[in-house]
Amino acid sequence: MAAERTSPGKSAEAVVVGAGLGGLGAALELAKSGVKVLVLEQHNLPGGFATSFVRGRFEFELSLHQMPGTLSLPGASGVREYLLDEAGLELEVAEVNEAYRLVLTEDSLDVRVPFGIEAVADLVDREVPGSRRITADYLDLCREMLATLRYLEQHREGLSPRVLLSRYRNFINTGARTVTEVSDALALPPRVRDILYPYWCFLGVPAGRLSFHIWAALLYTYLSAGAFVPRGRSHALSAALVKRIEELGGRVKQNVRVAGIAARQGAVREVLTAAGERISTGRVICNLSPHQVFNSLVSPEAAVPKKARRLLSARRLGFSAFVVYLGLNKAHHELGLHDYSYFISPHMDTDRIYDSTARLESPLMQASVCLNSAVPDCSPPGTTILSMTACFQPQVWEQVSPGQYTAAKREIARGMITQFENALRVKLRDYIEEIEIATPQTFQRYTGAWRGVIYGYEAEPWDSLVPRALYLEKERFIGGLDFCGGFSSRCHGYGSSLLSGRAAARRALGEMQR
Amino acid sequence: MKVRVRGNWRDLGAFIRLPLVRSLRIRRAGALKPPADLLRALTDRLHPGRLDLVIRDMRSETDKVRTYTLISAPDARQKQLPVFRAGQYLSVELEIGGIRVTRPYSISSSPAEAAEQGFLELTVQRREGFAALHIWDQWRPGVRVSSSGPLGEFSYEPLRDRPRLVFLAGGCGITPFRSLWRDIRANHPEVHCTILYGAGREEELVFRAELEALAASFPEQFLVHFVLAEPNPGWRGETGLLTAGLIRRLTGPGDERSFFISGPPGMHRYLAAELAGFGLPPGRMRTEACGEEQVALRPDFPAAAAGQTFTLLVGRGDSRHSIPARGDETVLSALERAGLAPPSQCRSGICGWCRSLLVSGRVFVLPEADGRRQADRRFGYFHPCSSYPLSDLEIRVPDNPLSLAAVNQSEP
Repeated sequence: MAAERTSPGKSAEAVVVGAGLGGLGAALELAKSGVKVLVLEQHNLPGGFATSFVRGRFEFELSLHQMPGTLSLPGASGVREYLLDEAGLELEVAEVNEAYRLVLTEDSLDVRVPFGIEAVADLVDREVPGSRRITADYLDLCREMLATLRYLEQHREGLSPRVLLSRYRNFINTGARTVTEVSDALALPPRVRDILYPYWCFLGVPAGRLSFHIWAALLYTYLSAGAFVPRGRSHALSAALVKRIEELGGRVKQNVRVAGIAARQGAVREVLTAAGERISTGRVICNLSPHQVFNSLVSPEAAVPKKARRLLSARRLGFSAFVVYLGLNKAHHELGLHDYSYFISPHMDTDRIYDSTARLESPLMQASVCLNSAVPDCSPPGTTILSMTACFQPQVWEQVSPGQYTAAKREIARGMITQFENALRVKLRDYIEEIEIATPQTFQRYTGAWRGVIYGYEAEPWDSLVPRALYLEKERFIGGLDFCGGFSSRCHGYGSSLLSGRAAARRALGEMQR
Repeated sequence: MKVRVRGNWRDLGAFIRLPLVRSLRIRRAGALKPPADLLRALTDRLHPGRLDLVIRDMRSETDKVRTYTLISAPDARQKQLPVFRAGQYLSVELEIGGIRVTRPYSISSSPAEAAEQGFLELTVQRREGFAALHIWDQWRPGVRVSSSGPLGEFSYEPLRDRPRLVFLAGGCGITPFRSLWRDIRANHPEVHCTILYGAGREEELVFRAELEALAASFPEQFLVHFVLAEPNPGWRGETGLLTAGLIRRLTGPGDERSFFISGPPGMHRYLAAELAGFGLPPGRMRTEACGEEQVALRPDFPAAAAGQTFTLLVGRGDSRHSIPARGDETVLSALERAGLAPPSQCRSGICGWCRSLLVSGRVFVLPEADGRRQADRRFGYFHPCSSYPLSDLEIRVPDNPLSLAAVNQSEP
């Protein structure tokens, strides 16, 4: 019998399920504190979506567009400082020089948005004369939101409502509000919104439903702190994390799929692998969706309380991605690609763009990256790596039959390439040396992501950062079981996932000390 | 700036009510298990981790080449065969004398045959190799075969390739082209395809009748030339090798075409040199290897290593093993013999499935088969399937879920 083959004595102080960035972040923090942590990853590579793949002469970045740079807020230590300074990762990074080039084809807008709050306000003022003041005020409000979130994080206990009311009133007044509501209240001109909104697609919820808090934090972080990417693709980040974790005494095991998490008397006891191993542990940090954990991993089923299931039903799954990776046999400046990040859409009506992600056709908006603009030597001389990302709601690709699949993905890719060519007035088709197309199904194939989703749950005001933080403990449901990654407290994104892992590890360390 | 969205008090009220809104939303939501992950069905159909197949029948193509027709085993987890792209291969798992190995074989049948008639074909040449001989001896109708799902990038891609294709096949390398020409005939009317098939003697030509019929029935789409190195008297076709001159003469001028090359590893290097004067951009020449490289014969191989045997110190999971490895065999082969192999698929350095850590020692990596990621080079990872030991090595290999599953399944 499979079970009898396994050594009964196997145990671990803490098990991390999934070596995505959240899981690696958790393992790093645990290992730093001397905990013998075991990371189990089903794939043959670490990193989850933070990885790369090779085709011909090209090593393509799988999913990273950018990570936030250094924040100049009091007491703020960003993900960059954490990785490079605090954790001592062996990682070379490259700066991203500008926020984005935005091309709205129907609304005739083509602007390069720089990094730096003053520079953004200047740019907006040039495009929409007279709007400098309102733009600066709006971005300052975003700064205030981010600063407050940081403050709350550092003073979780002993925070009085009176302090909140007196010093953080804007934070309170916008806490239940959406991006659109706040823009309306400030009478932010439509054209200014067009210019400032493109990052909404990193959160994946249209402005009319998106929590202002999380939006403000993201917008201000990027615009003020700039961005970077690892020089060796995000695989370099994942590989460096694994190296550091193992140096600190942790273990990362690949090709090991977790088949079950056994709970007794309301607490985790054991992790079971698909190969029949049983690892006894009192602490499991899951870098996968609660949907998967509560649906198919926790046993017995009765250990999952009804409230956990209700919470799953109440939430809406975020986007899955569709990416066209192009290896072009011409240098990016010869192609006319001088920017790093491109947002292309007919308009910036986030509702209509969101609706377009529910259909099996090229979505209205694409977010594209020319990697050579940040990492000139990422591909051989005279070549370019360009990747184009669009988003889909998870149900779309579930309706595709296997026979339709190849043609459907090719047609959508063709539409995205054409959209890019037309919007930027460049020619790509003649220079395609390598092409790969990743669909939601592809992401699921390699990572096992639930329904192919690469974002976490949608961050509407009721389920944004503050509510998630307030209910974190109550929504743990099973003792010793915690979550990290895109579905957890900080929502998705490279930086958020990593820091969510760190946060889960710190919770675990706190409990272990008690 | 003081922000009031709906008024100071209403904003405060809304903020205070957030927890209530949250608990109401949760309370109103159903407590049923969420519906199953429907994308899984598509993913498993396109990319089953593993195929459980059974040989339905076999036929001789020549006296050294056989085609095996495989169908899903009656008890297969996946009843339907996967959807694949013409030109892809299966990584077949074999157990030979107690040693578990994998070998990639191109699928020679078309995607439509899998989808509509439920079979796949693998065409295997008998040659002096461990795996090919085993297949030749053991594979019979009724024999079960396990493999990976379909893999590989040797496919026609309209978004990338020119619609004028040139297929250059050498010997056993003809197999993926059969899948490709059948698929192009059925689904890509825009494509014109010139097939140059080089072989030794006339009786070694595989799929000759099918190719002749293809050229005769669809002359506007397919042009076929057999090129024999050792023609029999009376042979009226082309002779010699696939030289630059012959290719130019038979395919016409101009570089607006995509070349697909499939044959033994030596043929790739030979053809790369022949085609150098065509001025083809790199992506316009796509290759697929068949058969193992005789590495010791390569001019760039460090000759001193060929005759030697080295010691590999192998860490896997919590165990450590010391095993021998010959200088002229891949590290993967040595690991397979010792039962310590990581998962593997392409066996040509590209897919990265066997990625392992080289703790110490030196290896020779085939330059054309070096699919390592940049960061992996830096951190000392290597692909055992395209690496040959040049010294004693200390390595760490990942677990192999297949071998673990197989061991567990074989227990009573």
